[in-house]
Amino acid sequence: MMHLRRVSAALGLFIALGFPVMAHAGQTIDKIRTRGELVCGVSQGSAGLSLPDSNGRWSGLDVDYCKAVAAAVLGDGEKVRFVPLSSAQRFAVLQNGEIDILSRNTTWTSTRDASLGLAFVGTIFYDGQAFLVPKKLGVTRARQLDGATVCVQPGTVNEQNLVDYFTANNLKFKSVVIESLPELEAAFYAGRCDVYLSDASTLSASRAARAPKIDDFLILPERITKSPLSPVVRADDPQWFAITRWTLNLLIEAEELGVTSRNVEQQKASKDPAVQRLLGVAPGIGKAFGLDETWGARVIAAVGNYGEIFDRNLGPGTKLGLDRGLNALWSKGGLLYAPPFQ
Amino acid sequence: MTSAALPARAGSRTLQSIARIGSAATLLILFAGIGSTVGWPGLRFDFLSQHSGFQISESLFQIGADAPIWLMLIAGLINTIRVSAMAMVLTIPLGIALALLRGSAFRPGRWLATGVIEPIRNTPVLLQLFLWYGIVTQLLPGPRQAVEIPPGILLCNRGLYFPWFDGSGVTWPKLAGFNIEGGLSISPEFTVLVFGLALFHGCYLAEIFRAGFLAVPRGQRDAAKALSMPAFSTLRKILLPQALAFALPSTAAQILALVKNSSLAIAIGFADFVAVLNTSVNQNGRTLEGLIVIILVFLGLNTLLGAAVEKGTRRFGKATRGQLAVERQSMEDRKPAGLRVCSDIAMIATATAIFLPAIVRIFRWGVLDAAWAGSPADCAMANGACWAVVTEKAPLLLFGPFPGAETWRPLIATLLIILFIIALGIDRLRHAGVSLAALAATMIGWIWLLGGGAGLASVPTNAWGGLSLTSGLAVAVVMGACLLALPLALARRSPHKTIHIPAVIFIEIFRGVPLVALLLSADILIPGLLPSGWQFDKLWRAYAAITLLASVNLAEVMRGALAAVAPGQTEAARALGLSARRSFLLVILPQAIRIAMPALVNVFVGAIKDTSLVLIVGILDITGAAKAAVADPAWRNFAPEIYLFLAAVYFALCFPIGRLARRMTDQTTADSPSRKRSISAASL
Repeated sequence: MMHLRRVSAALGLFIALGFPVMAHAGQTIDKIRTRGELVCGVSQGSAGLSLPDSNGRWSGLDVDYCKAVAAAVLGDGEKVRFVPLSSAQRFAVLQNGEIDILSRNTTWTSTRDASLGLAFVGTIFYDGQAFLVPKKLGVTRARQLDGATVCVQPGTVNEQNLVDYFTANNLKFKSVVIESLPELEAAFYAGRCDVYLSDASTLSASRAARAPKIDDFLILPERITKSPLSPVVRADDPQWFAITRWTLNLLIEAEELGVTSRNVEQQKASKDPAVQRLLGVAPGIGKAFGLDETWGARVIAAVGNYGEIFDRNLGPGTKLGLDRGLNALWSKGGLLYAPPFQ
Repeated sequence: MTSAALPARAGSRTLQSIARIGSAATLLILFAGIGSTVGWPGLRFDFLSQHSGFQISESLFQIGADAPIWLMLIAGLINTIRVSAMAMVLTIPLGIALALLRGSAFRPGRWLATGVIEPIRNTPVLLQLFLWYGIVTQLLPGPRQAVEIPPGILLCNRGLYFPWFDGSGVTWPKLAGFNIEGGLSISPEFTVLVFGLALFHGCYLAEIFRAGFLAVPRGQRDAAKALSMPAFSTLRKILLPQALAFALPSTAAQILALVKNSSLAIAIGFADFVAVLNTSVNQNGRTLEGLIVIILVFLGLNTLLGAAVEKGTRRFGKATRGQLAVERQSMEDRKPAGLRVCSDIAMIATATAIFLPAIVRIFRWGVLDAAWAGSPADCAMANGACWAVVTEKAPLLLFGPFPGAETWRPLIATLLIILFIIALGIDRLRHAGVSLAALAATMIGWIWLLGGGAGLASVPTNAWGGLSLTSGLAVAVVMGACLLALPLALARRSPHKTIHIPAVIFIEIFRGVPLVALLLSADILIPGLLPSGWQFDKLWRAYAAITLLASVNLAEVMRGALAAVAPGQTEAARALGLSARRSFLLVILPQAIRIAMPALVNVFVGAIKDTSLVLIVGILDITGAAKAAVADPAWRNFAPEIYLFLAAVYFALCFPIGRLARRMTDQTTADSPSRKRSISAASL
């Protein structure tokens, strides 16, 4: 029949298009080099962390971290393919090898670390959950929230934290759990809930962008949880784990040493042995990771140090307007502390 | 092929159950087998007995965070059943009412029905749920300003509260602290979900019921008249049973779709089964196990409902279908043309008077006061809609992440698709051969422009996106489904068990399980299944899944339609000397397609909207792009405008198909009444 021929032609076409070049199995880094690009799992849209702009280009803290890893391994920060993932599929897609690294605002918890065959690279962003309330309710402390209705996003540790906090303080609550952030916020600002629970960074951004009047809303002082966000890799490749972990450390160390994307060339002439090791002027560090010696300089040239990345995506100059807070260097009252490059 | 033309035998019920159990078993084996070859950390369901640690927003029984996950899941399942059952009870009368209106000779009534059905049917149900939920939460007052409509019953944006009995007596709802406590309450989320689903599926059902009425060959009515049968008994004894035979499979399919769609609950904050499962899977990361649980539960629901729905519709349909036909006939018979025109004019005048203020307001909001370009600040200043968000995000919405320098390619590809859709609507161009050639050319052109090769730089499928992806994918899905559906329908009607049972298993798997779950499992399992780094491109993987679902639905519609073609037709055709194959292709199939047309449109429209699920495999189609656009905090306040734009795009893609199908049905009925009449007559 005529149809059959057409079907097989169409099928052939699809299959021909469907099979890209064969990649050979092996260590993660070999796979990435053969492929020529890093495959990085990100969110489907989270402002400041990973979000496609009006032209479909990805930006954000999580995105820049992947670019840093690509610069370290492939020598080019642009050689990254971003795969937007829902929170439900993120771990499974990493486990089955479809992505090389998950850089998707994922909270580092013991259950996840212990049971998934995955390894958490290190905290890239310290967040903590807080409550946003309309001032007209007259609430100033979280303890006064007994019986309140709480708007919360599902699919993260949020819901569990909510229960833990209210149970620990012997308070009752009702929850409204809505998946999409714009809808959740619309419901909250329309008065469907008394309280909006989320990471403090999300709350202040939301209040700035969506509240009819910013002063009508208050973020309660309590931080009910720790939410350290971390990139994740498979646990079966120690070399890959080390590279990803130390790329993160490199970003932090560079800020501490004052190495930026603008001055990285001049800094190569620095007399400081720490800077020399970091930028590969004094050799040894890169080789241990199976990388070349100039990887550090490349990464900083591509994306800048942690401070630059933060300012570009989350800082006061952006729509989110976040302070460094816990995400400042340890020497400046924050928690960022990179072990020594030696 | 002869077998296909035999009268449809529903197949013994045991056979159906065997096939359904078979489909569950097939899936389990598939999962276990693949899981072990992949070297998965091992399937473990022990998480089901762990403490859930979270609370759900509403449930029929008291349940706290210390309950095990399996109990939470049961609470969620009960919620799913509660919503589905309520929506089902509402949607069937609604569908009948709309079908009645649309089939009536009363023109303004017809317009009203069309005005409801077309926008609802041709836009994504998720956006409708957003809209209804937005309206409810914005309009209703807070708990401290709750409205008391009859004393004791309180209404606010936290729900509708009734007095209710508890152990000690009647408790009255009253404000206590933040919320209204006491009594019985219905949440806005529950109400919106029930209403939204009932309305959405009611519009689909209306078309199915209408199709059922059209299915009965005209000769049947003529013959009954010739036997001087009264109109009502003609309906009851001749037309109705035949119409029902056709409408049942599609009705059942719609009800199943409704149950599956209840898993959209999470979008507006209702804790259904899938929502609860998602939350627990997120805590412990046991995605694959979670998917298995979802698939098994939905297959179970499917099996239970499949039987119940068919029985219920049969009984319910009998009482109401009569009305539909009687109404239509009495309208046709009694009203003189002049009077009809007068009443039409009167109706239009009244409708305009009633709706004019609203229309003017919408026009001012959407056009006169709107901000067409500029920054979020410009939008905040404007009194009207903020279309600037669409202009600002236009490259993302149109082309997704396509490389900036090459965006002329997706632009031309989209125009190609639009041109093709327009060309289909032009009568003079419509010729089977020409249309097929145009289709092939359009598809090849689309793939070449987006994918590159032969002179164009190659662009991987993961960079395709936006409208340019959605539009082409829509055409490709409809095309693929058309090719696959007929063999599937014939296989299911086959008397050979070796063909019949696999067909049933295949159909039940795709029909009973939410497509999201299937896509997710495919996304997770397939990479492990393929040896040593071979990757089957994600876009085509998702395309295959969406097309298979559409073809399964299409096959079910075709099966019903084939069954509705009178058995005498084959006999008459054979008696006239046509071969079995020719009598099927020339006599049975055209009639079946004509009968099935409204339901076919339902399937096409559903399939086009399902293309948005490519987001699951990480591809930003227009829905994904819209979601990403509203995630931008600068523009988040203007999400409604983006959603309206999105709804308009889907409407523009889906609506022409319905029009086209309708025109084709009208034509085929007008073209060859004599032949059909003669064959029908021969059968009597």
